[in-house]
Amino acid sequence: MARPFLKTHYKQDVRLLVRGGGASIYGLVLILALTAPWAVSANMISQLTYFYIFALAGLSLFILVGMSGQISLGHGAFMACGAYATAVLQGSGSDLALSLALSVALTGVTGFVFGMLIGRLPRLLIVFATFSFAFIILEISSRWDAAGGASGVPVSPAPVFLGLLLDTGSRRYFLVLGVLCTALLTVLNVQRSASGRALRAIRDSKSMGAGFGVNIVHYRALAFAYSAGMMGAAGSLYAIWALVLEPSAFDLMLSVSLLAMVFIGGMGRVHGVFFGAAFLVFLPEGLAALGRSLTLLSTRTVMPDAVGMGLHRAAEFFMTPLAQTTALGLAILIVARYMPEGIDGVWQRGKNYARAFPLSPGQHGQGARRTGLIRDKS
Amino acid sequence: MRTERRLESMERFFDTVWRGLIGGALFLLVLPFLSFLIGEKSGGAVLSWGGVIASGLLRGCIYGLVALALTLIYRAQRLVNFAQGDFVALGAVSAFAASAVLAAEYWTRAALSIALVSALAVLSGAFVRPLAPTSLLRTVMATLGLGFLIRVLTEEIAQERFSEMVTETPFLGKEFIIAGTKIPFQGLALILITAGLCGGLLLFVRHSRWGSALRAIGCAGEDALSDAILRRSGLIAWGLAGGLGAAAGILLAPLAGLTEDMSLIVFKAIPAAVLGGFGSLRGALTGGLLIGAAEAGAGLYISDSAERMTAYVILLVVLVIRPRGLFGTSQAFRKIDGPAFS
Repeated sequence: MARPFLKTHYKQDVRLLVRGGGASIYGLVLILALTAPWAVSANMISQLTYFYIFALAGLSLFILVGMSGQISLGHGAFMACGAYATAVLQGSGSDLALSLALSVALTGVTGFVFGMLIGRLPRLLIVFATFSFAFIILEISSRWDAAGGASGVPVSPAPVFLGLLLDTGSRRYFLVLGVLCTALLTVLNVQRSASGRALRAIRDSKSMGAGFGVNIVHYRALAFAYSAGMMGAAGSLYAIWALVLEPSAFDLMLSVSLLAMVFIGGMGRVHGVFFGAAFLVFLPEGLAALGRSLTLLSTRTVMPDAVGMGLHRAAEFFMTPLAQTTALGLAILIVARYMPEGIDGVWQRGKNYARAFPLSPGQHGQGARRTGLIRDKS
Repeated sequence: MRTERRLESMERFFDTVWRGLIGGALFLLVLPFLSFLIGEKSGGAVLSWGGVIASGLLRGCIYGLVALALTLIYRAQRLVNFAQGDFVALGAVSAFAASAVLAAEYWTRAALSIALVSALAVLSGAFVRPLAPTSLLRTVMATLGLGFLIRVLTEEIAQERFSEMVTETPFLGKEFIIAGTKIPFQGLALILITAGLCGGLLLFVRHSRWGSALRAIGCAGEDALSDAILRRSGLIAWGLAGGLGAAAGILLAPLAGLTEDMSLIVFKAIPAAVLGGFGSLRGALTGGLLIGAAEAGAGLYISDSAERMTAYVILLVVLVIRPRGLFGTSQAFRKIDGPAFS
């Protein structure tokens, strides 16, 4: 599969997995994910749940940014809507399945109406509209008494999902995994349906899409609705993961981080979302590990005092939130300037390089294919 | 022919100066009345309608300055600099943090800080420039990423001592009394300096060589960018924007205090620029003043919460009703609404 985006037959366009041959690998990943609660520690399960929630949020932005080309700096607000709706519904003692469905419906409808209002604007103004919306929602949620105001609102630690008590971390893990898989199937299906093609058409050129008879405002609003609904689900699951909701958790920084996540991961394929979510979720851990190893290095080895002090200060810096901001900023800049297709693009290029080795993969692997050394599977 | 053109240019120059002088004179005539209103404060709370106008005017000036900086960069390179708020914060922090290290005068420190931020802005511009014609997402993300790095720098300089930082200025605490009303000097200085900066900027953009290069890029986009000199002069816009941002920060800090959230001001300046018409210089300033007045009014008549939401509500209403704002053109977004990805 040296040319991932080239399709030569209509059937390739409606296939669920873009790469038909990868089913066994995806199956293996799914089995690993399903058996994880018996294999790793409870702390790790919590981390993985968090990772899935962020991947879900990333899928939501993938629909909006990757498929319809609209950029949102305010998706944290939709997450907040979903989370608060779930908290309030859980507080009144309803079933989690109902709360989840209502949260998704609420945010989805909000997203659709919002998308209809701003769908005709140039994309730059859509960015502005989304962050205004986010600031307004944030202000309301920090003032609104039913949502606990600025001090936050607690969520029941033992929700009931269709009669099942989700009182342990691993049970919640399975719920989140199930929702994530559903969302993933939804995204893949939207991608191969007529709506997906319409979205891609207006993403690449508004006038071309309009020329082919795509109703731009309608499809932009539709993308917004799908995306907001999925973000609502992510917020809902975040509520039962975090157990207490503070308005400050959903501020602009969250919206920007979510956008940075899909941007760093890469927007060409769904895979990028998972790369990006892994980067964002495990970044603090990674930096802290780096800091610890630097501390070890500075204490265990003999070196001049100045170097030791420098290492020590660097190690301290890696433990602070400032280090995460720095790493995120640097990653964004590197991706923006040098690897616009994100981590996923680098991964694919590396794969093509390995396939064509020792020949040059050329542009999209064409050089090697011409020699007949690699065969295009699709 | 050449002489004629030069004469014409000089005529336009003096025309602008003349209009500016008349405007300034009128402004100075009105100023005593305005400052009459600035004085009406008691216990930190603004009470009168006049006080609202004054407070709106003060914050409007700041929003206008930041919006002006955004507009400059947008006109030159068709991108929105989301790091502008961090330029403001860095300018304020570096000017007032230097008082601990450097035993320099207020003006020296301000000039140093403006120079520092301008230089940093030019570097940022050089980094972001190649992305501008490619895709909206890449420029948005790149400026946000730059903002992250500048924020880290700001916090490293401030060392978590934002609130304790001394924000002494030659104006602060001084006031003079006209007809029994106290007039704080700081507010007056802010308004005058803003007016001076805006006037100087308009003169620069309209009448200098670099200014006309800037306008050429704004008009012709990539066609003008094919000229290497013009390409470099896009960075002038970044330098000016950095300087304006730092100046806004230095003026704002003594009035509003230094906080970590100072960089969020860019999200108030964007509504101002859109209200005035995105891409229009006078629109940016007008929009800033209007947003400032609206915020102050909402704060007085409704609540603090409403005050914080006003700018965004106005932005959403403008976007739905009249996206090109007061002075904007419908062509302002032509270049930027191309394909989503490169």
